[in-house]
Amino acid sequence: MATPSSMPPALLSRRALLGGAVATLTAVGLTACGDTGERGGGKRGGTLTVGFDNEPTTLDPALSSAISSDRSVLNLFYDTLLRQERDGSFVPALAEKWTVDGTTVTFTLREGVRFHDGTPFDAEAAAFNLRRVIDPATKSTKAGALKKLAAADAVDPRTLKLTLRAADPLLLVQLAHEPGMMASPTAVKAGDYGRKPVGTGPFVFDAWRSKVQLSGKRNTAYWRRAADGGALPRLDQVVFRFVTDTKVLRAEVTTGGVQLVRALPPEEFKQLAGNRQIVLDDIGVRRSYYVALNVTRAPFDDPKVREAFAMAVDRTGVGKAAAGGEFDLAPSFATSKDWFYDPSITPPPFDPAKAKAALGGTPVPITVVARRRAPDPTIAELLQSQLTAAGFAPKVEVLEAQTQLDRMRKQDFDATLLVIDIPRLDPSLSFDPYFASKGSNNWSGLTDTTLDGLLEKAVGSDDRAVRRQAYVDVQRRIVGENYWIFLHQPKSPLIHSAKLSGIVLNVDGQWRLDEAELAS
Amino acid sequence: MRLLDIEHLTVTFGAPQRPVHAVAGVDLHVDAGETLAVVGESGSGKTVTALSVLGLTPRPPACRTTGGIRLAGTELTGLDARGWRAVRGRDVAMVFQDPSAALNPLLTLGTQIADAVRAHEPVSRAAARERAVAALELARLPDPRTRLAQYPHQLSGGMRQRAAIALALATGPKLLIADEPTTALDVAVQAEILETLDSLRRDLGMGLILITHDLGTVATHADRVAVMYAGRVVETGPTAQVLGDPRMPYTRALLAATPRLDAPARQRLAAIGGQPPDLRELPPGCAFAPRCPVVLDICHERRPALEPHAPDQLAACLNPVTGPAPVEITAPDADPATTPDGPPVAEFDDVALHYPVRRGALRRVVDHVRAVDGVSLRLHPGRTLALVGESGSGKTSLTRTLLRLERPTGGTVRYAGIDVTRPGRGELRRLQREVQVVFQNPYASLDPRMTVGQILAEPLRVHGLDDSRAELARLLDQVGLDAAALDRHPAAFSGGQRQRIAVARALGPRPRLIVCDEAVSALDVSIQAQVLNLLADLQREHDLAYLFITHDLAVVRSVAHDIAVMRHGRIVEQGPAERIYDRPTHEYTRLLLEMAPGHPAQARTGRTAAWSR
Amino acid sequence: MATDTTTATTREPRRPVLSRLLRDRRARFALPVLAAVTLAAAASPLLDTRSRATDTDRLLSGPGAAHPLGTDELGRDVLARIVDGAGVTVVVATVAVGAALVLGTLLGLFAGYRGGWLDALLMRAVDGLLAFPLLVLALTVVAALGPGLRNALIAIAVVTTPRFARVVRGEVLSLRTREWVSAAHIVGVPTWALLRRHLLPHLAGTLGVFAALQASTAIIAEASLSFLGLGVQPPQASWGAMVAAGTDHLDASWSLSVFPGLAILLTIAAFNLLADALRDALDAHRPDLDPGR
Repeated sequence: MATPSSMPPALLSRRALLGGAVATLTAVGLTACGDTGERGGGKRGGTLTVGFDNEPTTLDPALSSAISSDRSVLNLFYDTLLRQERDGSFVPALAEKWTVDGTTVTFTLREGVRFHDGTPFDAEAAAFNLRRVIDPATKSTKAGALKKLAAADAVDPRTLKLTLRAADPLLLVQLAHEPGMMASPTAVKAGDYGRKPVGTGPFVFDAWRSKVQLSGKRNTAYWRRAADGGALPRLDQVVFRFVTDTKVLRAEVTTGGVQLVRALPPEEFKQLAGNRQIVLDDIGVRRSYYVALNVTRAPFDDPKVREAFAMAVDRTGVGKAAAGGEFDLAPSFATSKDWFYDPSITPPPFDPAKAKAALGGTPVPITVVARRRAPDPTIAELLQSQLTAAGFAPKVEVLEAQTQLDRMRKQDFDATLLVIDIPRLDPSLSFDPYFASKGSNNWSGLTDTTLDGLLEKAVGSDDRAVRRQAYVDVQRRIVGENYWIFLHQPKSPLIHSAKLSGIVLNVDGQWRLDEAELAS
Repeated sequence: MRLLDIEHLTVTFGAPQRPVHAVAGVDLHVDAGETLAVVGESGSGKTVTALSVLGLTPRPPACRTTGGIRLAGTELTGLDARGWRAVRGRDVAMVFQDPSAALNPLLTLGTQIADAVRAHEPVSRAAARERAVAALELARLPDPRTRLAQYPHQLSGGMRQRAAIALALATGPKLLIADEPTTALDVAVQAEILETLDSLRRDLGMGLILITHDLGTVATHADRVAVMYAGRVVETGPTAQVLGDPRMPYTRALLAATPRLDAPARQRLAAIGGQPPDLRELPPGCAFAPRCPVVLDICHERRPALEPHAPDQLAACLNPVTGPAPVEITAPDADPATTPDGPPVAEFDDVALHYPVRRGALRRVVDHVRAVDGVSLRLHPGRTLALVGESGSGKTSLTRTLLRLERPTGGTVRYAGIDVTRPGRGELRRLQREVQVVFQNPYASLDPRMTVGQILAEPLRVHGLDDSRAELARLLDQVGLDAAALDRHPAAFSGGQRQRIAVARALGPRPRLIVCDEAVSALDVSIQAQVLNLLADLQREHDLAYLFITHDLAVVRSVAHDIAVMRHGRIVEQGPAERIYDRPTHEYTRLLLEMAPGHPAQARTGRTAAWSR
Repeated sequence: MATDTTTATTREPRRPVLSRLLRDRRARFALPVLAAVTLAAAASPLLDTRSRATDTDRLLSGPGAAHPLGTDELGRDVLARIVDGAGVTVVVATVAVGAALVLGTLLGLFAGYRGGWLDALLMRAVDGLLAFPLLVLALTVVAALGPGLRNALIAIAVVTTPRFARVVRGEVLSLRTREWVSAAHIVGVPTWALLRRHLLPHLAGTLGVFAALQASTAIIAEASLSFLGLGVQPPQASWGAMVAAGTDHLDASWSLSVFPGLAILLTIAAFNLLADALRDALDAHRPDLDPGR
């Protein structure tokens, strides 16, 4: 948070950075002149302004918590050892090649890559990052992702050896995303790293004004080249403007104030249809709304009450009111196209009368926390109405994101309304953080050994069929116990200006902007 | 030359069903170079008459005007707004009682006067400013050129009235109407302003209408006088004749009721009984009949017309009297001015009251205003001490220390041996009971939200005294009011009646000392006399001590035993009333005496022989 | 003479304020509106189940027979919600303004009559508070206390109190030099009785007019706080929150913001007009009875 007292130095450093930026731009201009001949298409330059509703709380990948959306920001500054393409295949990144041999994985690192602060990226730095994630003292939110990693060792400056406790089919997936993001050890050790990220990525961190914007400028020494051999990134600068009001976001993208928007609710993006300046691209991403029930205390420690809650909620109604019809219903964090989707898993049918009877006549007081961001308060209000009709006495608290998160961490709530973007890189990433006893986002406070066992089983195998069965059982367990109530899944198309192209998507729809370019 | 001719002017306010005839058939005329005084009490219609000449009465239907007003041969009635604007200023101008109301506080005098000139004549700005200088000079404003750049607030009260006169004169009107032009000013300044008006009339050949309630002013400054009562002129003629040999009993009574220096000391004034007329409920006959001492039966039925009773002298009376105006002496038992004996009831000992003057951001005290500066006085039981001085002399501030409304910054104030700044608990109760006050303004001294009964009962209840209805009725009876008044609000009473109620309230707790702060100054002459007589009677009855604050030496002639003259926070002269009246030692006292009606010095002008018998 | 006119006017038997008010065209508009709002507020507890009943099968339906003013984004009856919201409005206009009136009057009386350093201190504090725009101050208070109707009421009372204190103090300063007050002081009427009997009754008119004006300001403040989501919390209906919710669906249903907005407009207009009418009715001076001016 930028406190007034911290403003002057921040401004100073910003000015210094700007000065630097001018110098860099000049240098870029010179290189650009020299480069024009050898590079084919792909225009260079320009500032991409992004409207982003989900401001990260930290830019330290080891500590970032909003699992999916933070990566669209982190991808600006960080690289991973390897990349996973949208089709699921892996391609080299900071590692030129790797070999997997049972419980040993060996990476051969790219030469000559330097962090933004000038320190070299080598095996020691890579080992430092991975060790940091698994070190309990770090309290990394990604520790679970690398829980099978026993040791990371630098064999020589170019060779990194990972030793696993057991084979991990998900290791490469994890290493291709946040847990494998490489930060400058020097910068990490310097402290306050979450607000001063230093990676090897396409953009160099420039400035971050909380609740306003975050910017990165072109990393002129970026190692990666485009397919045609041209220098990357193509943009001079990327600015993430933090706008939570979806109306404002829609207006901004309409007027061209921003050229890319993370997500808009259906009632807003429906209004953009037909605008030829704007591209709406259904990339299969859904926003999955859910209510997590706090099972660590009354009344939701009682399965009957949880079932009553499930019966009280009219999911179709919620979808109609909050997503204007642009939604799917699914049993859990699965979309109908996912391999672990099973339509036979169904929550208890909507039946307020039965719920009321189950609760026994006396209204059961509960506290529902929701986030102050449309349409969440509307959904909360609708839930409140439905719950009241079904014999609950709900109190809704609409909170700022951080406050809601704090309340959930302290388990000071009965039900919490939230949303995540799906699909994720792997179903384990959708389920483990939320439902494993040690999951970093175990909002419900579950300690369900059956569920833990199923989740273990699902990640313990390479076999798609085994995994599918395990995940179907996981979903059946979650829905059967009514730990969570999965609401509607509004569609979430990628929305950007027609001038913007070259956005590369992760498996889960998060962006990489190193190849993005803006037509003039 | 006939300048203004008003013929049968009527001005009627209110709805046609309930008309209020503020002016009911008035005939007046003014010649060029002549001063006409219009005299009358509250509600007599004198101001409304003047406003009709300026076309300043409200527009119909709120107000309807009939009759004729001819100014310098032009008929004014029936003019539209544009026509009136042309007449006002060019032909007729007015000077008001309160000069600040006539001057715009945001504009310099030069701008205001020049604007007035340019509104009527197509002259250049520079020429208009020259005219402004000339007007200021005419109004006897010293150093007129520097005044042009001054704002009204930079002038003293007298200077401001001169500036207002200059504003009225700048456009060269043929007729000037001055409505109580000196009432708001101090005595010494009053005379100067009247002198100025007088000489202007003479030098410029203007007609001057002087509206006043003060017969002294009339006597010294008017050629002719018109006495108005209840919207009609009841007597008119040359000043000397009307004042010297009034035919209308009202005029006679008015003269008799006016306090005069040459009246016997401490004797009852000849009050006019009853109340001023209520324009809403006028009797069918002579409006003065209910109060007339020589009323005939026919007076109640027939309204007398204004008829000649002597050369040039007209009166509207069915039973006119003749002979010099009598001073009715109904209380011959004037008590001799004995020297006081016994302990004083109250004493001021070297009392000072200084207000700090703060300046600057830090509100530092840079100076003090010495409102009261080392004053010592004694009051004795059964006697009246008149404290005389102009506004700002500190006389009210001094009494406020006795009333515990201010703490003196120096000296001591004692009542019956009690230091009023540090009374014990019982002593405070005694002070609250035994020292009472009657204020100047009868409209502000009674809480308008309470009934008279509540007002009278409050002091009694506070002191645990009998506040029964019988007791309240007795108090009212003492001041000559009926017990029916108890259930009514002050708004239902006239000024004089309210002042009586205020006196009754003061009498309630059986005080030993009453402070009368200009207690009769706001009252009409006839009512003033009633209240003064009442106070004198009550003093004799209850052995009261009065501290009587006034700016008018004549007013206290009938009540004062001792007089202290105050100026600039100090007592300049004090002593027994007779001595002060006969042999004033201080120059300022002499000046005050000269200004008061009935002083021999006023005979000098020659026009006032009848007045200063 | 100045006294001429005063006599003429004050002798005129005073018509009761109420009858004069009832003949005022502005009051004839304002009083029925306010009566309707009060009636709605009284009826709101009977309607709150109806106003809170959601129905996702009739979202954002425009005005029609079943729902005269249509339904909102959750299918609730807009008319029922406006009636429900009247309860909040009346509470704000009475409780918040009432509290500010009592508190501000006490402060103003005390400061004005006592004077001295205490007066200086109180008035500097009041000046400080008045230096901020009302809504900014209210937002600060709500930010400190947290959202909700109770806290919004506290905030509105807190920001309105200094206004009353200022007005009352000003009146007291002029009233306390009136001679009838001095007379009461001299005769030893205890301070409290003096304030109550001789000052308060004279403040009644001013306070009535000012309270009516402040009521409209308070209603706007509450609507604004609720619009920002800091006032009344769902599912309790509040006109301000309804306008806010309606702006999200302007393209789908024009009427959603319009009707609650109209309700706010009518109510504050009624309060303002009532204040004007009351002021005129209390004003004893009538030009047609004022000869000489």
